[in-house]
Amino acid sequence: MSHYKNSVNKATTRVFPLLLLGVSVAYLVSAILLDEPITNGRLSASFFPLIVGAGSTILALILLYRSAVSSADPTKDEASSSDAHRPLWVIAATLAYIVAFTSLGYFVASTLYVFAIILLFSDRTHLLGKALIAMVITIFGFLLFEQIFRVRLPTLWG
Amino acid sequence: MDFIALVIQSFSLLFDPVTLLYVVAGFLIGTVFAAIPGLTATLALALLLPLTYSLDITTALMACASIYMAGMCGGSITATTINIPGAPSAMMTALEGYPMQRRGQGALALGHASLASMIGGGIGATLLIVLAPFIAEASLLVKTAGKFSLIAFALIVIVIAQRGRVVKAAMAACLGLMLATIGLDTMVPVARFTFGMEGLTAGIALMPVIIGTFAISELLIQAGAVAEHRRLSNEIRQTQSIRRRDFIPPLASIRDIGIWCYIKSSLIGYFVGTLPGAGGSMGSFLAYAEAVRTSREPQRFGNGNPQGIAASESANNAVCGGALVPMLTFGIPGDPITAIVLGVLIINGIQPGPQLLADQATLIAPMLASLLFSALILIPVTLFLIGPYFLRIVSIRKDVLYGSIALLAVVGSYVATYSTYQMGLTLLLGTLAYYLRKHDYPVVTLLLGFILGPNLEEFLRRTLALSNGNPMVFITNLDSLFFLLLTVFFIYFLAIRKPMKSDKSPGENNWTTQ
Repeated sequence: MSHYKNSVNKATTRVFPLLLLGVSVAYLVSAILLDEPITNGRLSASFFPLIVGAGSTILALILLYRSAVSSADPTKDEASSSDAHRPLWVIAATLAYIVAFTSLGYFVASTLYVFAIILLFSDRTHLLGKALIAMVITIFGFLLFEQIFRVRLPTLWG
Repeated sequence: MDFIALVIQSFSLLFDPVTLLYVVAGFLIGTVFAAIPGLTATLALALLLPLTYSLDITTALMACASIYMAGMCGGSITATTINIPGAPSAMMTALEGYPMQRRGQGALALGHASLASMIGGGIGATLLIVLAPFIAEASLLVKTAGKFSLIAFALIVIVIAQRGRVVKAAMAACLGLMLATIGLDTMVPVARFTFGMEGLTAGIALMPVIIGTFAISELLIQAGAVAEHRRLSNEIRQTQSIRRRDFIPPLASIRDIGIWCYIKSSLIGYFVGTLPGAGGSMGSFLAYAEAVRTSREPQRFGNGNPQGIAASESANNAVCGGALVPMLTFGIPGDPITAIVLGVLIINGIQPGPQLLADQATLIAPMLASLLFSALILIPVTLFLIGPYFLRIVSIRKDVLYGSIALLAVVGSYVATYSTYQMGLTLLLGTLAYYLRKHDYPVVTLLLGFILGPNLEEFLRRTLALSNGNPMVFITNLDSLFFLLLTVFFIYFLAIRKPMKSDKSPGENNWTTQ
């Protein structure tokens, strides 16, 4: 558990249970379409998912109702706007890294990714120093995975 | 007795320099991760999980045990020095440790914490070594219907232990169960919830779930708290330094605390540890409360009383031994760390369950030896050797730290299948876990739902198939009835007898880690 206060704005507090309800209903409908829950006196592959889907739909409805009747918790701090957006940038950087991983190879993709993460966790000063640190971390990762633990990582040259 | 002898023999493995290196490295990594606020030993284990693919499984389990033990005691470092528990299990330690630090006795408080951790960890590990074989033997009596009721009991208790957010915990557990049902059905060849995606036919592997839930989500949480990191770094810089000679607690102070306080707190921690979902926080809280209740001078607590540190730290380290009991004897993890240890076993093709101690004793014994070794040797040695540098280690540059963590997490998820698909899945699950955590949903119930889900379904279907669909079989079987009654008992004491107060904020009084 982090000791940091998680900031949650009012909109996402309302939307999140709605998303969970959507997932639960979609799962339940898929379970219903899967098969009869009991065939020839035996439980089929859809029986357990039906129970789980029904349970989660009910729970999501309870959570949705609770979020609708209660106002957002005023005790929770709103993070600064830069802090609030930073996780989204980390998600975007990670996604870009995964896409580039096999095409650019481990070294190039990882150096750029680590550099991006370092920048997201700090300010935009001493860029050269941070780029060097990113390279060192990438080399450390290479030594750890490929040299010590014998994991074959993709390279730019094949 | 055979098992105890095997554990004793296993200490010889520690003479192998490579094995010892992994155990010591695991302990140091666990200590550092537990000491840095925001990081946990669970995260350390999640990051190191991919490396167990290429590591000898005995060594991997020994390293896991040392990380676990370090994770419990490492949290006391920042709890004492800057009043921010590095791990949730050190919350009660902060109550007494920080006032001591402000009086200039921070090193002494850390000394008391280490001594208590050593005693608690030692007692917990010893009890585990002595009692586990008997519990494992008893677990063989549990048949299919009983196994279903036992798993259901574990899941329900983990959910209701999340006091103040039980509905959210149940929802997260359902999400875990949903994820577990994706892929080919285990009993009939039917693909479920794959939506035509070939990659999902084999189901979702444990690795992306663990790394996503604990590493990626933590990275995202910390990305939203950069301003907090800067404030914390400034606070650490202003903290007075720690001197090695001040670590050793005077004998009079230990006598004042009383050996019974250490033993009682350790026993409390051990038995709390055996309960699914309880964990180190609950163990240390109960032991601390008991120390205050039985003290002749309760007014001294909260102002820097070493007895409070002793109770809290003995208990949370004894939890390690207790928490491994259900995992080793029934294959049921009670907290995220034991869930990851279970993952190490599964990744290496070992099926946890009642037969584990009988069939894989040579594998489990070294892990328990490592747990005891970590408690008795590594805790005091680490404090003495690197204690004065704790604050310097904790104040490591966070951009560099999280850059390294991000790389280890994402590349680690690539290791299992050598495919970027697995990496994408890890990011997706990590993002889900991040939003769950942001909205105060405990992701530990998601993980345990995912791990226990397949067995829960399998035993339910098998039992009903054997009884021609008659659900009364769960009541007529004595082993099943026992666990059902136990479930009712826990629901009564945890959810009904002490109902949640509406004025409590969400997450308050929740004992589990994440």
